Amino acid sequence: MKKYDVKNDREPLSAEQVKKGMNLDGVLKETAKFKTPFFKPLLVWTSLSIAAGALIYFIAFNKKEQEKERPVVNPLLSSEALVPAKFTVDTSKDTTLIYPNGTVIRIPAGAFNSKDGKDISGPVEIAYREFHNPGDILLSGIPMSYDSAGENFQFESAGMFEIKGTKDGEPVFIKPGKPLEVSMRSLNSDPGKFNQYYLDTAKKAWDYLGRDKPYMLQLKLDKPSVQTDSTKAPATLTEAFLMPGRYNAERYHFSIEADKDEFPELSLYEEVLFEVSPETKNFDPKSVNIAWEEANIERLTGGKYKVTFRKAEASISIIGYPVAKEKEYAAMQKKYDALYRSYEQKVTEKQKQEQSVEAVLKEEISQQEKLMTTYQQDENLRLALQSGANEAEEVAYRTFQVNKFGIWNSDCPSSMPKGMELLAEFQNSEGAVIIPEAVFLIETEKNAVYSLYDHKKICFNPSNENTLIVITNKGELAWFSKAGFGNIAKGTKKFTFKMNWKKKASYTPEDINALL
Amino acid sequence: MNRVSGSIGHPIFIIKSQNILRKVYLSEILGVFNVKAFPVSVKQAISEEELIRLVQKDPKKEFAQLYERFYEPVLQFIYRRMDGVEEAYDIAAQVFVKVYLNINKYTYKGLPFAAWLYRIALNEVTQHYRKLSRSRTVTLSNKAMKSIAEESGSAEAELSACMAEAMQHLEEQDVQLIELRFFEGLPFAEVAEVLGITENNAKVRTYRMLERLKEVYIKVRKR
Repeated sequence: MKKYDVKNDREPLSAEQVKKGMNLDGVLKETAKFKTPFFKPLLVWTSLSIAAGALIYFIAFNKKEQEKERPVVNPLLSSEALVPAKFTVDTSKDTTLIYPNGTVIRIPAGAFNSKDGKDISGPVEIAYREFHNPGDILLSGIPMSYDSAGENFQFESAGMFEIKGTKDGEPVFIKPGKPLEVSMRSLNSDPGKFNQYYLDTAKKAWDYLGRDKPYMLQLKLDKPSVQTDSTKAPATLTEAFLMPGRYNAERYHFSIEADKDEFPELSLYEEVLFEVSPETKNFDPKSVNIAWEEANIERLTGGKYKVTFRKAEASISIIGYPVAKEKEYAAMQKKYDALYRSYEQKVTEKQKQEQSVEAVLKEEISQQEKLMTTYQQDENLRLALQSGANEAEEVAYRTFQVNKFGIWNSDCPSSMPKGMELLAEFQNSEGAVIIPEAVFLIETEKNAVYSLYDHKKICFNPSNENTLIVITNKGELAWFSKAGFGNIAKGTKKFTFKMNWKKKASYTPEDINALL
Repeated sequence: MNRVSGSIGHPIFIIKSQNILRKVYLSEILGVFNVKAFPVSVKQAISEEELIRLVQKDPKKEFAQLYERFYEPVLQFIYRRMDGVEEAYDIAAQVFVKVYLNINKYTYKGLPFAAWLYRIALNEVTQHYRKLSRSRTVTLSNKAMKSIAEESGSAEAELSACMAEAMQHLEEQDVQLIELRFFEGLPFAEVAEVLGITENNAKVRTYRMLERLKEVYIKVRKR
């Protein structure tokens, strides 16, 4: 049998055929089937199936209960490395805190209240820590899965942080309308890839908050250059919508047909004449009668134009302004008034638009200036920023409006790796079977730690560099190297992972990162 | 009478709009007043992002809009991989059932929504053929042959002549790449989204696939 039934340049379906296939009601009816209450089929089950169902339900319930008991943030390896930085904040004034890597936390005065809504005064302790790399992520125990469209995604991270507040050991809460602002220094400056999420521990799920846009901060001591409006003042209205003057029979006149694209204001009215201005030097009335070969027109201020006529070597320049004879004047005035009104309306709209753009711009400038001011004033921040970065390097900041304590991230859902699927078994170097508590796959090119929930089925992308991390049921770390993955033959279906071992009382992110 | 000449479009105002300082031409301002022939203002359809937000908020009320907008591209996408139109209708219906049930789990990632739909559609098509154990339909596009020939360094006429046979020697994932990248004309970011891989990986795989295609094509041509 041929693998593919290849058809050449088939015509796409016609509009009629497409229309024929449309059946929204059918789709909606089908979706309703998925919402059938669980108890309905029970009515027709036999007593045996009820018993079986009850047993299944009991097992499922117990499993669910176990899940319930398991904390959302569940570190599987012991680690003393991810200790939060602790700050004491005077709640009576605005405070700016600097995390060692340069993250800036701004806390407005009076930002906290107690569980029962009472204002908190006096010192409050803030605990803050960040997670940026696979080692941080794995040791933190923060869940990185994100369910979308029934498919399990795992977060690729541009940085996460956890912030907590306590007073005398009791948790405090952030007051509504008094959010803290966390400008987290991120190792990823991608401007459009990441979203912000908050870990809802009650729902055991990440809440999507919106797109994340980093600020780039130049590591220079001078202020960021802010583009300002240095444009010229707008031209006068009379230049935009010209109202011809009244015809003066005492003066000389001529007519020209100006290019409509270049001088649309001269094309608004018919029967417009040019009256020779007294400013024209050495005007010879006879020149009006010469059949000139070429004319160039140039706008001057005050609704005047300079027209230069040429024929062979001869040329004259006349300064003139448009005029209309009495009988056309009233109609022109009417048209001009109508145009002027529309113009005013448009200008008002433009001004409104400009004001809103201005407000956004001001906000962005103010954000940048705040960061810059903090940066300039704080020696610790300056040192932190400059360590490991060149003077001219740009660093990315991702700003969060933190309205509740907990875990926040700037992440992007990433698909589970695909390409090869292995029926897996894990052994130590002596051939003893390892029972995994958790299995993680880390791809070198991504800042993501994939949790593989089915420990017996390992999916990975053979085109990428992979490292497998297993946390055993004894809380120990075992790993299978990327070199090992390179030796798995294409087409392999079943594989025993001979794991390397690392036994420590306390692990650090570097222990994990060194394996990648 | 003399015709005045000169360069077109002297800037009249400098207006700041959308953070960009730009020159506004008198003719542009006049455009607002319909003095000349101007494009007719058409009510803009709501953005994809906005539509998805509405559907997520109230699927019962808003799903019809989404269905209307995306039914045809999804159906055509499926049909290119199907033998008959009735089969394509069935698969398309299943796709939209899944879309309805899972729309709240969709996260906007800056890519066209269709990429997400194609991903679901491709899964449905794969499952469909898995059940039937039948040859999968691939619709070749002669228009795309030129770019495949260029990128694989093959002669277009010869490649076109033996493409159908060459396809038989390719793996499913290679065929999917050819379809998405060349026949559907999707950018790498969207190919990656549909296949659930990274953009970089999509590029790498495509170039490897083109190399394989070239090898296969040379073998087929020699026969």
